[in-house]
Amino acid sequence: MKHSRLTRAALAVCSLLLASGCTSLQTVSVTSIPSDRSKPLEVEETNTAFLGIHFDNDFVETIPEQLREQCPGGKVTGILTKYESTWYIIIQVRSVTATAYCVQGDAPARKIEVSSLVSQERAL
Amino acid sequence: MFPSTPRLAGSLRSLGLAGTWALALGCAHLHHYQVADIDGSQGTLEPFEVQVDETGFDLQEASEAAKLVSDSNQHKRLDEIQGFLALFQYGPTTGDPTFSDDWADGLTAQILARCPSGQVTGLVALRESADYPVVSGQVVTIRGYCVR
Repeated sequence: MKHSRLTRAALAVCSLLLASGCTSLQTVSVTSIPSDRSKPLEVEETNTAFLGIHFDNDFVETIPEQLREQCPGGKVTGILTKYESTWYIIIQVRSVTATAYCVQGDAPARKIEVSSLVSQERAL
Repeated sequence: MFPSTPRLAGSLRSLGLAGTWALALGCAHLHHYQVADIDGSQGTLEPFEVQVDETGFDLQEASEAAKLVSDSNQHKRLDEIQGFLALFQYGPTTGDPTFSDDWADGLTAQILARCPSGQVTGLVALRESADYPVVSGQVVTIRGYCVR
């Protein structure tokens, strides 16, 4: 009797542990990956709700701005965006993770005076 | 003085369903989220946002609601309707079905109206819904930056 009670309790605990932290991948997307991958970036935002009842999706609003802040004046590219949902018994955690690379944009073309081109040509 | 047991059970069931609906009132769902390349090297970036939405209908919830207010004789008819609807309402979807299939078609025109130069970057696409009992708001939001 005591042994079966212990076994049931152990099974219940194991079931709870197995059922906790169940993660599902909702969506994933990726943009074209640059050849220059020397500067990786990462941003993650999460949102937790009891029973998975969420009242808004505002937690994702700052992600693009956070990526831009990590790459001032450059191009954020090779963005892998993952939207996942994890259940911890009765608590749901939604998370969006964006990993990317910062590539410094092309340097603006120098402004060349036409007159200097003509004088160089004459010198030649 | 007190209601009989079957009536009490029925009342409690209705109350439980109503409570569940109240809890889920205005429940927000995020179905899809993606970010495109953000090019900050071509000029000043001015953020913009465009949104389209449509009313969705959960026909299963509607028939369950109809069962609450109908007598047991009509339950069999409602079950048949539910079964019939289930035959062609299957497959991967985001949100509830709508009665329009082109409600998101005007997004490109809206983006170009907000950014006449046509130089947009950092496009973020969100597919979300706000669920209420039976009806829901199906929403597509596009955020981005217009290069000035």
